[in-house]
Amino acid sequence: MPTIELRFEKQSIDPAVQHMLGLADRLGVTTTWDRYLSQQPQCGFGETGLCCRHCLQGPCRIDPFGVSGPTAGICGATADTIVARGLARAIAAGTAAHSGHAKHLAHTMKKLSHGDAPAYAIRDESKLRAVAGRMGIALDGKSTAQIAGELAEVALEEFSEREEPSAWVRRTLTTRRVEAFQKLGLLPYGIDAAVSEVMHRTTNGVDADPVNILLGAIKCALADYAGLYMATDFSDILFGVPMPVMASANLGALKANAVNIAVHGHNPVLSEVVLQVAGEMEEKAKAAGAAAGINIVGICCTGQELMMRHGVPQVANSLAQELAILTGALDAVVADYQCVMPSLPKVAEGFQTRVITTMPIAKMPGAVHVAFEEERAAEGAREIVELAIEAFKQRDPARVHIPDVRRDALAGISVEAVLAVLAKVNGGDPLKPLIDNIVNGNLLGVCLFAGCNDVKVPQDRNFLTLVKELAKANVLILSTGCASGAFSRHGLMTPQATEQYAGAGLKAVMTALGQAAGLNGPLPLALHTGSCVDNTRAVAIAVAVANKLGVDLDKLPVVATAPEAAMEKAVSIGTWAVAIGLPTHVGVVPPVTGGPLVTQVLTGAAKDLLGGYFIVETDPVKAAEKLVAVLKERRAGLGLAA
Amino acid sequence: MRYVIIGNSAAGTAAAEGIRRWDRTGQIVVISDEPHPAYHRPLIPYLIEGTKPPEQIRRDPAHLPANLDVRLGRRVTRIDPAAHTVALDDGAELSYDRLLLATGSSPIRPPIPGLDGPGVYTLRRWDDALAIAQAVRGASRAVILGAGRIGMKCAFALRHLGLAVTVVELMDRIVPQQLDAASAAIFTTVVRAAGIEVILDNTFTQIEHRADQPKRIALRDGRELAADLVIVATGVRANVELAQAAGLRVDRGVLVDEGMRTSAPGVYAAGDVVQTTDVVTGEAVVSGIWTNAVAMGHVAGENMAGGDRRFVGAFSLLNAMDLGGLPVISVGEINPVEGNGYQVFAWRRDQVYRKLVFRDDVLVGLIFIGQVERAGVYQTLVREKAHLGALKARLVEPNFNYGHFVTSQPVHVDRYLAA
Amino acid sequence: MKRVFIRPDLCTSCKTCVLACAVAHSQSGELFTAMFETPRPYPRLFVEAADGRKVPVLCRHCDDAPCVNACIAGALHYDPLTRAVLCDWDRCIGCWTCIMVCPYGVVQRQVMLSKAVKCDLCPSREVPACVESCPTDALIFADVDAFAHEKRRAAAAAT
Repeated sequence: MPTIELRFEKQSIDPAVQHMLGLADRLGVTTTWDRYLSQQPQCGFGETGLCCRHCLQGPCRIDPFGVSGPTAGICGATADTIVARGLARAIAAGTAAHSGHAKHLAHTMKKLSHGDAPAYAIRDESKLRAVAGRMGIALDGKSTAQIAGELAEVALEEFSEREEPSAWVRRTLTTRRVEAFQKLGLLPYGIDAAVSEVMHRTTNGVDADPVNILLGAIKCALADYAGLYMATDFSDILFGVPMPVMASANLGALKANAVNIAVHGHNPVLSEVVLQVAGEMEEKAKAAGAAAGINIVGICCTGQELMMRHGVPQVANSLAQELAILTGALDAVVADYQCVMPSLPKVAEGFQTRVITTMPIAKMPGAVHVAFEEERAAEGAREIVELAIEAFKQRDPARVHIPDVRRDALAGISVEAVLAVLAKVNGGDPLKPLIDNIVNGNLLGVCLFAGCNDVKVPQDRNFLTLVKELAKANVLILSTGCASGAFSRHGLMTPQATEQYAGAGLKAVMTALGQAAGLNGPLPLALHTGSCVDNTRAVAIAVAVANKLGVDLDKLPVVATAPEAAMEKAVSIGTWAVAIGLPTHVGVVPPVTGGPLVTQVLTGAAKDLLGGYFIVETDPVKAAEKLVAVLKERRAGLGLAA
Repeated sequence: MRYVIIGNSAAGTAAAEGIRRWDRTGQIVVISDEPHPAYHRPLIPYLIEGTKPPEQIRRDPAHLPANLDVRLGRRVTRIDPAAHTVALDDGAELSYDRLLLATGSSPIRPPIPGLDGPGVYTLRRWDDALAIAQAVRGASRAVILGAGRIGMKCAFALRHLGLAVTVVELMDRIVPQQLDAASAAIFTTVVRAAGIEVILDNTFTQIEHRADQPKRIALRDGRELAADLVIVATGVRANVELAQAAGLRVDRGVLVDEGMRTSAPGVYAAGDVVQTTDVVTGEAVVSGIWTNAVAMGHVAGENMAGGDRRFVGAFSLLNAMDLGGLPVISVGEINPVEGNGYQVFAWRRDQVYRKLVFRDDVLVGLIFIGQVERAGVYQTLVREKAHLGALKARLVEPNFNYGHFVTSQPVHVDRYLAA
Repeated sequence: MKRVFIRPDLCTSCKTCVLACAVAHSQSGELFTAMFETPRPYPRLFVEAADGRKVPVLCRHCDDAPCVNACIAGALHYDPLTRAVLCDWDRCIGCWTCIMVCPYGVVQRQVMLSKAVKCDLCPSREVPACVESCPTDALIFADVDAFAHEKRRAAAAAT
C-alpha cells in the first residue's frame, strides 16, 4: 500500500535535521518545531509590538487595525511609543547578554593575571599587546601578566558609567563615525549604564518620544558593539587568534565508538577547558569501551569558537540542539549560557545523555549542575568529562542513530588570517588586493551574514537562497554564528562551493587568494569569521578599508543580513550595524510594524541620519535583489561602475 | 392526510420530524411493536449497567414532533400497498396516504447448537436489556460472542457490574468493522486493562446447558469456557418480512430510490431496514447506524409530506465511541485494498493514532484514536468527496483545521464569515 | 435571531476571546480563580492558524445541525426560543458522535467529565463573552439577516 510519510521541509532544509525530525516523531519526542506549531496562531499584538507590560496597570494593547479598539495605552503611550519601548528593551537584553559574555572573559583574564586561573594562559601575546596598545595602555617594560591585568581592568571599567565614552567604541571605529555619534549623543558612557538607562527610560512615565527612545536604543546597541568587540579581543588573547583550519559539520560528526560531549552555549571560557581536559582523559574513555576516545563536538556558538581555533566539529545550530540528543550517541551536553533550550532535560529522558549546566545564572530543572569556576576550571571540566564517560557506559547501542550527513568546512578566518592571506598577494599593502578587486568590479561588495536560525523560517532556507544569489552577483561573503553553522553544515565553506556558486569575478578573486594561501583551489564561498560574538571582526576589516580610502563606513559597498534572526541579541547587533552605516537586511518581520513612525525611522530616516537602515524582506530572493541594488548604489556613490 | 409510520426509533421519529416541517396538521400514526415510548436505542447498555436513569434513555418528549398518534405494543401483520392499508395484530386495519417502513433490524443467531437455549441473550431492544439486567443477578461469568460495538459495550457493562467477562471473536481483531489492525491492538490493550478477556480467531461450536443455564461453551480450538450468561452479538439483519410479503422490491434490505421511495406508490422506507448506497464506495449497503437512520428518516418524512429531498447515501462506517475511556472515531474506508489509487497515512504515538486513507485526490476514510477533536472537519471532506489539491499535504499535519476551509473553500461558502 | 459573526481579517489571534469564553463558563467567572477550579473551565471557541491566516472558529448553531441529527443520546438539541444548539450534560454520554460530524471542528471533549463541550451563545449574557472581549471587533454579535445584508452591501461596494 502506498503510504504518505510526514515530511519536514517546512521545518528545515538540512537533510540531517529532516531525518532526525522523522525519528523524533517516531519516538514521540516533542521538539521546538512541535512547540512552535502548538503556539500557532501567535498573538498579533505581540507580533506587531503593540502589547505593553511595563507596568502593573497593563497589559495594554493598541488596535493594529485602528478600527474600533484603543489607540493608546492606559498611561497614554501611543503605538509608536510602545513599539519603541519594546524594541529598546530587546536591544538592552541583547546588550546585557553579549557584554555579560565579554565581562566573563575580562574577569577570567583578571584572575589569570593574578595567578588565580591556572587552567588559562595568554595564548596570543601579540594580540594582547595590540589590544592593550589600542586601549592606550603603556606596554614598555611590563610583563604579560601585568598587561593582561591592566587590560582586564580597563575592560571592566567599560561597564560602569565613566567620564569618557566607551573606549571600545571610540578606538575601533572610523573617526568620522565617532564624531557623528558624539554629535547625535549616541556614544555610550558605560555598557551596563547604557542597559540600565534603557530600562529607566522605557519604564512608565519616562521617555515617550518614539524617536528619542530609538536614539537611546541605538546608544545601547553601540554598548553592545563594545561588548562584542571586547569579547572577540579577549577570546583571541586567551585562546588564540583563529587561523584557517579544516573541520567537519553536521550530526554525522558524532562517533558511535566515542564518548561524545557537546559543548553548547557561547563562551569559550568553559568549552576550551573541557576540550583541553578531554585530551588528558582519552585513556579513561577508551578503558570505558570507547575505542575512539572522547569526541568533543559543538552546538551553537561555543562550538564555533572551538571549530575556528581547534577544528572541533559543529554538529548542530541552536535551533536543532534537541536533535543531537536524539542520536542516542551524545553522552553529555555541557552548556554555559544563551540559546540553550530549557527542553533539553526532557528530551534527554530515556537517553543516557547528561544535560549539564555550569553557570550560576543559567540553571534548568532536570539538568545536572556542575558549578564551573575559573579558579578550578580543570577540576570542573574533569567532573564534566567523568559524567560523560559514566553516561557512555549506560549508552544503549540499539538507540544510536547518527545520520550519515557530514560536510567539510574551512573555519578560522579571523581578521589576522584574512590579512595574512592578503599579505601573500601584496606584502607591503595587504588591503590593496581587496580594494582593487572591489574597484575593478570583480567584487560587487561584501555581505556579512549573521543572526540565528528562526523556527518561523524553514531552517537554513533563507541563508542558502540568499548566499547563492549574492555569490552569483559576485558579493564576498563573510559569516558568523548560526550563519557560519548553516554554511558549514551545507558544505558552503568549501572550495567546491565557490566553484559551483560564485560569479565569475568572485571566483577569480577567491581562486587567486586561495592559490596565494597555498590552497589547492579557491577560498571557500563563505568565509567563517567566527561565532556570533565575532561580528566586529568584519567591522575591523571594513574600518581598515574605509580609513585607507578616506571615507566613512556608510559609503562602503558593505551590507549585513540576518536572514533568520531570532534572538534579542540579533536585534542589538542589527541595530549597531545600522548605526555604523550598514544597510542591514532582516529576513523575519520584527515586532515593530505596529509603530508606523518607528518602522519608518528604522527603514527610512535612519539612512539620512546614520547611513545604515533596516531592510525587512522575508523572501530571500527578493532580499538578494534588494541587497545587490544597495551595493550598486553604494558603488555609484564612490564613483565605481556597478 | 394520514401518515403511517411503522417503527418508533431513529428513522421513524426523524420521519415524523420531516413530515412536520411541511405538514403541521396531517395525522401521523406511529406504530411500535415495543411497549416502551421512543428511546435512544444505542443507550440501552446503560439499562444493563444501571448507571443512567431510564428517563434519560427515553427520548425527551419536548424534542419530539408535536401531535403524534403513537400506538405502542402493536405489531403490523400485513401491508396492502394496493389498498393503502396496514393490518394490526389486534385485527384492526388502518388506511394511509403515505406509509413509512422503519422496521429496523433484528439480531442474528448463528446456527450453533445450544445458542437458542435459555440464558443466551441478544441485545437489540429495551426488553432485551432488562432481561440481561435480570440475568446478571446471580451470574458471575459472562461470555460474549462477537467483539463488535454491541459486544464490547455489553462486555464493559457486565464488567462494570463485577462479572468475569470473556469476549470471543471470529475475526483476528476486536471491533473489526470499526478498527484496523493497529487501532484494534490499541483497544485490545485497553479492554484487557479493564479486566475483560479477549479470544480472537475463534467461535463457539456448542453451548451445553444445565438447569436452564448455560454451563459450558466449547470453542473451535477445543478450549472450553464456563459461563452462566451468554450474549450473542454477531450482527443484525434487516426486518424485510412485511415488505417482502407485500411484494415490494427487496434485496438484503428494502430497495428505495434517492427520495426513499420503495417500489410501491406512497410507500417509503428508512433506517436499518433499507438497502442504500455507500456514500464513499457507491456499493450497496444496509446500514445499522443511528446517524444514517436519522438522515434517511428526515428525507423520507419531508418527501412524504410533499418535499423534494434527496438522500445521497449512507456511510457504511461512521462510528464514534469511547471504550474504556479512550475515544475513537472511524469513518469511511479504513482498510483499503492494494491498488486503485489508495494511499495511507498512519501515525501513532502510544494511544494516539491517526490514519487517513486517500483515493487519488480524495479523502475516503479515517481513524482517530485518543485525539479525536476536529474529526468532523475531515469527515466533511469524506462526505463531500472534496478534491483536495494542495490541501492534501495539510491534512496529515496535526493542526489541520476548519480555517483551511476558509482559505481554500473545498466544500462550502461560510455565511458566518465576513470576506 | 442573533449569532456570532467572524471577521478574520480583523483577528490578531490574541486569544482574548478564548480566555473570556473559558472564564465565562467557569464557576467563579474570574480569570484568577477560574484557573484553579476543578474541573478547569473549557473555552468553546478557537483561533486557528491556516496558511498564515488567523481564523476564529466557533459554533454556527446550524439550522439543520449535523450534531443534533447525529446525537445518539438526545443530548444535543435546539433551544426552543433562540434555536441555539445546546448540549444537555444529563443526557450526554460522551460518545463523540458530535465531534465526528461537526464540519467546523468546534465540539470538544470535557475529558474529566466525559461530556461534549460546545458554544452555548452565553445564554445569561446579552452579548457572548467572546464578542464582548474582542479588542478589534473581529467577532460581532449581530442579527443574521442584518449581517447578510451588510455582507452583500460590502461585496457590492468592493466590486
